[in-house]
Amino acid sequence: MLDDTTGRPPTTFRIFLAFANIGATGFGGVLPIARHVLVDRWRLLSALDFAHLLTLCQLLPGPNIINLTVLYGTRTRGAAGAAAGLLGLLALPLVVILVLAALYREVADVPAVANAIGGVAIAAAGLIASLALRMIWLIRKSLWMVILAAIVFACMVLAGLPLLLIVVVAAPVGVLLAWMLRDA
Amino acid sequence: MLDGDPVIALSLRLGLLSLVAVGGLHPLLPALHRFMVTDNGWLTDAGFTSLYALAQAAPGPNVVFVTLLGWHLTGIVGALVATAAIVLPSSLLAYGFARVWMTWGKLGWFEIVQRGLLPVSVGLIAASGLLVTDAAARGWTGYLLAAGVALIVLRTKLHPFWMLAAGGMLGLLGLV
Repeated sequence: MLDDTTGRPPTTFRIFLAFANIGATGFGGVLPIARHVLVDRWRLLSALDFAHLLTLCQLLPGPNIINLTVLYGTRTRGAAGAAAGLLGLLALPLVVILVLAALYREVADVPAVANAIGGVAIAAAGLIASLALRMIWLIRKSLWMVILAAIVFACMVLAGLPLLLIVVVAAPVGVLLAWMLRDA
Repeated sequence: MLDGDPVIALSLRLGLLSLVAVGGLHPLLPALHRFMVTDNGWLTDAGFTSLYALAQAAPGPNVVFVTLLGWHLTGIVGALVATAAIVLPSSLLAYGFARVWMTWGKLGWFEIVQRGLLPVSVGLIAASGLLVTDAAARGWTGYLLAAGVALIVLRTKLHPFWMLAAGGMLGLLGLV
């Protein structure tokens, strides 16, 4: 994973700057922005390397963009690279969200503000639903996978079981299913 | 002394959840809602969804929602502690993974494990979508808006930000 413009791994400072760029411009889904910045604009990664990294970071638990940052930083500059990437990614968004939150606290009780933010929340819920629908499309060919997804949904919504329990039981079942279906 | 501290309690929970967050932050929303609203009463339904909306309307990764949960409890310190609690455990795991991966080379079972985790993520993310809609909607128009946004995003290339803006406008007009 070399910097295309220099032929060497990027410096930690360059990693910091690249991820600061991603954090500052990523609205509603940072991963597409990450691809745009790392592959197209800064040429720190090939499209293929990015696809590999994306697969890996979806495999690992935790927020995907955080994993992507850590994997990329570690592979290029070790722990320092990972730390530089995380700092870059989070510093500005943290400041912005805290300023927004402080402003919001002042006006939270104004009915118009409460109504507007309620509308934004519902739209955000629609975005989450679209994410789920898009992922159902990926498993539509296996009835067992769809049934497992439905059971997980029911355990969370209807039965109110703890997330930890659901994941610890359902994840191995899913992997077993995927293994049995691997040639399909 | 620390047992009663809400930020410590939240952070311990976040650290644990961070390690079972298959498919990112969205699958965690129902568990976070249960912890903050149902179990501890630190937030109302509307408070929870408002912070979520705020996080979505701001630039940066989704984890800033967790930042806001910490901020709600004890301000700046809570914000930083909660953020570290969700970011660090899974990051350490990813770091270890990157180290091993660099020395082991390619591992064939990536794709199988990834496919196997998909149904779990789907079920949990669908639960999150329903939960946030339930908590934020005040009537059938709210459910209609959520469904409409989901369809528009799937069928068009419109940037998600416009969906949030449209939702805000409809809310301001008192339509949802």
